[in-house]
Amino acid sequence: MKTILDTMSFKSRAYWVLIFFSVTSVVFAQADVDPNPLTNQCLIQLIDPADKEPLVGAHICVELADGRRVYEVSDTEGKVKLLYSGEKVGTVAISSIGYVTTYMQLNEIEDGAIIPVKADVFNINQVVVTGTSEPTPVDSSIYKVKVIGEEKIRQSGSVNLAEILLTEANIRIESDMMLGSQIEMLGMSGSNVKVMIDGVPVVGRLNGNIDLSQINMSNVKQIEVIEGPMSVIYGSNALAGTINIITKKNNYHDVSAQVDAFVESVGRYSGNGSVSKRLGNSSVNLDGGYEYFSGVDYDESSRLMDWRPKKIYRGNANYQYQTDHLSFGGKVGYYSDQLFVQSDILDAKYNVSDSYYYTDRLDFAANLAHKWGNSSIDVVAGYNLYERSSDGYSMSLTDLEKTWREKVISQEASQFMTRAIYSTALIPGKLSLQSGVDISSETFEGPRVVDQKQQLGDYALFLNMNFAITPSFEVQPGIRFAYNTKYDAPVVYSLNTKWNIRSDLSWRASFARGFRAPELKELFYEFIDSNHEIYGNSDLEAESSYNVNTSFDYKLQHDIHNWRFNVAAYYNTVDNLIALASVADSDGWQYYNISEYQSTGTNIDVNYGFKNNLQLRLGYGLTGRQSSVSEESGYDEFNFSHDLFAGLKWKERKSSVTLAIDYKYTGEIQDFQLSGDVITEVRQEAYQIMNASASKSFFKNKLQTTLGVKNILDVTSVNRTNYVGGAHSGGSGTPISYGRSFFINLIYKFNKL
Amino acid sequence: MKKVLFAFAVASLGLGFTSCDDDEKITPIDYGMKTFEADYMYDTDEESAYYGNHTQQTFMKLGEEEAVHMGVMGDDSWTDFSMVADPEHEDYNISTNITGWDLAFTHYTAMQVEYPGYGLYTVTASGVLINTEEGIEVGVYDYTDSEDITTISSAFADMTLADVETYNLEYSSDIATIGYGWKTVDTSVTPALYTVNSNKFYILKMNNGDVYKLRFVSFQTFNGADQSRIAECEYALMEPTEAAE
Repeated sequence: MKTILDTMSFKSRAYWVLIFFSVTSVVFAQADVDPNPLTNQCLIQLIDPADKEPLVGAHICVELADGRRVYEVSDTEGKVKLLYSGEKVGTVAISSIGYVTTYMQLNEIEDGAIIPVKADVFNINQVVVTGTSEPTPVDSSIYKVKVIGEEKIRQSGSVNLAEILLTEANIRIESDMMLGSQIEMLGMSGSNVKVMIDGVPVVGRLNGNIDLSQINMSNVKQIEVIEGPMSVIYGSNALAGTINIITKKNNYHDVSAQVDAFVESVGRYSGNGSVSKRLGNSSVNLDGGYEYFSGVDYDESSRLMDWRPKKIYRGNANYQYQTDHLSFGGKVGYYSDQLFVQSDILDAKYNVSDSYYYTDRLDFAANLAHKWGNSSIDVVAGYNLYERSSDGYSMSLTDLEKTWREKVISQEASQFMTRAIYSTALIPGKLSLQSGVDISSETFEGPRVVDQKQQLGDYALFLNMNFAITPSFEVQPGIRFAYNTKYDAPVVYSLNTKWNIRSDLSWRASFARGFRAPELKELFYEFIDSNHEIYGNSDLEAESSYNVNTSFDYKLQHDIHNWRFNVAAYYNTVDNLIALASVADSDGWQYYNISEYQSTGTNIDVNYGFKNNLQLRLGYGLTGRQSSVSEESGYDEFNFSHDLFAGLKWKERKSSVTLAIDYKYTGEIQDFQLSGDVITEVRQEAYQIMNASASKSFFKNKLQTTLGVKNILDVTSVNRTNYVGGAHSGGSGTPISYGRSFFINLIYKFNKL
Repeated sequence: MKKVLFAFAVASLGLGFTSCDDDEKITPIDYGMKTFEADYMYDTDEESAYYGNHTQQTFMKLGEEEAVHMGVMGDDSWTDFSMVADPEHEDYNISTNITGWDLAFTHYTAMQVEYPGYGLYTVTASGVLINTEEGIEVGVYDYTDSEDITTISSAFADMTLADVETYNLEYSSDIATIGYGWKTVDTSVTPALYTVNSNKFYILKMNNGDVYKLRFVSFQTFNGADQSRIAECEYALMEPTEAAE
């Protein structure tokens, strides 16, 4: 079968791919004004060539010569009528989740034709947008990108980003009762991981980390996880990795709406709703949600709760204008959470002091993209406000009379950023460039900030040149010049390569220099009380780093058996890594520089797909960490930790039931911390997380239900043991999860053309 | 399917929102101890030179209900106590002109720590110092038989001099023997949360032979409208045992 894939330009291909992977519903009909009635038709049947079974519920878009688009969905026999008017001229795109999107010319399709559609077992056809000016198939990206799709998010029962990442390779998630969920990626802490929503960095880091549990998953189309540095484009933080959350957009339906309800047996409830209205090329989307968690308490003899009750409200409104060559839009988002912290009995008079902590985020974002000829320009701008405050009451349990405290704002941060990228193909297919500006200005205010207010600006210019030396070998050097208002920012550079050694074997490698200015909090945050103090350290040096990454991808297809192998290795070295250490014999904490820090590791993963019914994945990761602190302690070798992960997904196509099981073993980790002038070795035990779920769709995918079990092995916390001078000096439990829980998730979608 | 959805909705409502606080109420037992309250006064005025400090000190004599003297930070009435020898505080364990007191509830300089990347770091604390001029010696007994507050209270009330003798305590006349260790602070919450270690029983041997038992029962950490931080201790003169007589 001949497709028009080769004859279409990359851009129009990418555009079609983008359109079709955004489609999540099944009801389509014709669009817009109808000057010439669609009187002619041609009947086709879509089949899976592996088993000759009909392809049900596939989306077909016919773009007619006059620019009109007609949408259809294949029926239970895989049959679909293509409607057209006048001449049989136009482009047909066929897409279905789990299949490679197929393009054909209408005049090449005979009436009654049986069209095979190839399975895309590992979603390699999925497009990514991070770091590219065009939506690019994940396999074509010069970066090592992993895509976590909507289906996977739903099957895992994940309400927020921290939960979905818990079973991902090369990522560790740590839960802190006050600071939320923090990430470590490729052996580097969360301050070296960039987290963005549609390209706009998430503001409000606590101890250098974004609280990933504050990022809701209900309106997310996909999560793009880039392992390795992107510091040339995204600057500070984007050294170990970048996580870009892509939200859903509606470009097709006159009206599209969705409601979902989630209940988890630990006392967690969540409800979300979204509605979208399209008017011509414009669309308006509103979405919002509420989450309530009642908290979990294992030991009821103490008032302290092991997992604290939380309420979350969030809402977004956005407008988007979209044509083939121009798109622009704006978004306003609001997030608010309330954490209730119950104290233990504080003294012999039965006094307690309970607190509410509030986090409020207000986000404004705007985007503009324009394409002409071989060039394009993309602009993203964001203004984000973040506030953390608290109030509460004290009372004696002898009379239960509450004395309320005034609400106190402990931290206010705001960020303005804009990034404009100009891309052009200087010699199409051989040489292209991507240049841009990246500006960010961060303000940090609060009663505990030195002088109450501090500001930090970072202004950068960057350039990436992409040389396709041969059609299968591309090299991309990049350079970034930055001016930082507080630091002499060095020139940051990178070199990325991708070599398609054979059609089934590819190699990627990257080398990059990174730089991270201390964040305002690390510099200036001050916390004074009568016998404890937390100081920012204005003498902190900026972090300077190098990163090397390499990976091989090998694909093997044999009839209905699909294999995919990936081997990767990396090495990071950081000078002046910023860390927090406790001050000896006091309750004070202080930021300081660790003169040298290195992490290295390798990981292997194997994916197997049987038709597109069964997917198995198995992986192993080795992460090593070493620092000057551990060297001083007498350990001059890397401390290695081992991770293992496995997954199974079985999809029964006729009943549309999907079973999914995910497993991750997170190995013992050794770490060294400085307490005053004493080095403490910390060892955290290994733990295992296993989740399973079953999903089924009803009413032509309108209703999607998922039933599942999270944390089957019922892991709640792991031991963290401290050793000073090799001797045991105490330990504590580090919380991992609230234990085994069962969940139900119902999603109802409604679309009208 | 409608039934499923309905059941689901009912279940959602039924599972949550079931907490009730009233069952927490506790009725304390009165052991008839002597008590003393000292307000450290927490300065929450951001404009103040003493912002974040405990600005009031209280000198007390065991057995007397009224304070012997009150000091206000930055005022002549204030006595600077420092455990750190430095040019400005040459009189280590500084003495004061105020006389006739046993215990001082005060903010003081506790220690200095050499800290990498920061230099010398001065740690201040709020606690209780003893009058070294009066020859008082203090021993500390950690009661660990139970963590239950009511049980601890009754153990303290019942403790006799005969019991104390079995503890084989070490007695010290160091000014900061009581110090700040009778409370611990959790800085991960805002405002910082002080827990009073009411299981630390202090035995005070006076130079006239009297022996007191003392413990701290409360430290009002809540900065309500009046910004007070009231430490409360309870104490009793212990009856000499017959053997001792």
